[in-house]
Amino acid sequence: MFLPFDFAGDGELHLIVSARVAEDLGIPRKDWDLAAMSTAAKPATTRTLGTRALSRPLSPHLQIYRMPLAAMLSIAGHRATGIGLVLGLLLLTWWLTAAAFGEPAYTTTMAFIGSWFGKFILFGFSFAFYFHLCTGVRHLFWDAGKGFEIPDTQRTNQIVIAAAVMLTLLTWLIV
Amino acid sequence: MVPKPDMLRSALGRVRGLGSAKEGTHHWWQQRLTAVALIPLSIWLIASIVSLSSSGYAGFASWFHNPIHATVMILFLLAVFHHAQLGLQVVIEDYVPNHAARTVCVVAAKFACIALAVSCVVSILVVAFKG
Amino acid sequence: MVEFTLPKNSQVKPGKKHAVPPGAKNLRTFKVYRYDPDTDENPRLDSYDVDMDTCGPMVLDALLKIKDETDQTLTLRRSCREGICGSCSMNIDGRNTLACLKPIEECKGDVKVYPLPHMPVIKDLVPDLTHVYAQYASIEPWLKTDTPAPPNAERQQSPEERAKLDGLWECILCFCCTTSCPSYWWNGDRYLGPAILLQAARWINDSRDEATGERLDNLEDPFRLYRCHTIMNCTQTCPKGLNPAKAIADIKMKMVERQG
Repeated sequence: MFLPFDFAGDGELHLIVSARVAEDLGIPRKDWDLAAMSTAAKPATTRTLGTRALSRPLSPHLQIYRMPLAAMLSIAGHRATGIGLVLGLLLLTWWLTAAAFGEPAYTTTMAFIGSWFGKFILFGFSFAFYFHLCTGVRHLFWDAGKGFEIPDTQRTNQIVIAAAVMLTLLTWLIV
Repeated sequence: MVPKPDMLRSALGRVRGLGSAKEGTHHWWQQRLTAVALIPLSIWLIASIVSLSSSGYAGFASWFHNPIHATVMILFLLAVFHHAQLGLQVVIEDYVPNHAARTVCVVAAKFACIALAVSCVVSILVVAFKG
Repeated sequence: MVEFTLPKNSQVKPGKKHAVPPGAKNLRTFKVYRYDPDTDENPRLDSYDVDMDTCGPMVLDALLKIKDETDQTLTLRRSCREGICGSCSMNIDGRNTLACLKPIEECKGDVKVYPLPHMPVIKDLVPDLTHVYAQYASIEPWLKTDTPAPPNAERQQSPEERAKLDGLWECILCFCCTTSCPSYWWNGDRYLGPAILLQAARWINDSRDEATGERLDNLEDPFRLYRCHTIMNCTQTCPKGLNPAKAIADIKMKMVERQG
């Protein structure tokens, strides 16, 4: 970054650095040999030597990456439905504990679940469940080392989505 | 990746860090085992919920008086809460970089899953053993 | 919480629109990420119109034409211009690839060119790769043996064992895969990422190597290896057609295999 060098021939080592590095090093301005500075070296920066690499900008990521479908199925699909299903477990817990408390509590709970809002939530959970199941089964195949080629992935993308939709509709047709 | 402020440490020193945990496979394997178990168990649960949806409290109670149903339900609950707890841990570790905050969140998620699991199992047992 | 947005000093501002080359009829617009470390300004997106009638077919050709004819300050890494050195990896049209292998024709609309995602930027399209190189060094990418090599002969390997290295040795360490991985974005300080894990698999699968167990020990970690969630961006983006996701799955299977 800089080299000490006796360019003046006065027996002292001089630093040839940009104004910024001079500031970073805490060299008082009165000691700067401004005439020796190139035009490129502009003062007035507050960055310090220790944080120079830290002050580098971070390149854009989520903002610019064109996510493939498989990534969407993984993040917005498998992960998001997994988190949603944890909320579903809260509902399941409510249902089971209500039953343990006896018939009145159970009836109240079932009234909520049977309402249009309850059914709407259940529909959501059922889709989240089948989606998580289908992407999860694909994960199990991947974990066994199968289906890693890009055409395989593209085909299973479609299968996973179609199966999740069909299983959800099938379940609600039976109900 | 954003460099950490331990600037003067060598890059290799930073990467080696505290070394490998010599752990991770157990967690990963447990998640897969519970996933496999949950395929039949959760489909069974959906079928049960569908068949119980219109039968009221008496239908619910008599369903779980059957020891096979109670057993399968408890197996489902153990598997699903274990699976959920493992999955939540991964999600939290992914998104919470601060070690202290991450530990608090992971522990809270595990405690919550255990509490929910036990209350669900106890509820099934209460219904199963009630007259 | 992980930062999903860009820090203040990293937000990309609108940049300069450079003059249209005189007399050009067949123009294509290139929007290129620019960052000058010698100013305190934020990165910006400059716009260049390139005459396609006098330009080579690849994005690298266009970038070099811009550098030659329009704006000499444009900074990028490049060397072989034929997909073997891995220098000109960058994000083009939303996906990571080598500029020298990416036909301009394949890009939709304006050609957007950014540095590899979620990396510290040294200048323009040049990311700081110090950390990934250190991660590479950490897996000790060389043959480790205790048995001395046979005198005056190479260590032997059957054609079948050698075939296990195919799809691994071809990696040119361009880090398109690593920087396409959201898991690496959030936890790249500890997660080794697809490129390094593929390299690790290259040594784990080498029948001549005698440190397989030690290599697996060093990977057995919730972050180093198990941040891979099989999102598959790595495999989909690899400009060499390799399959890092499969290589990682192979390591995970070996981890399970040695347990029981």
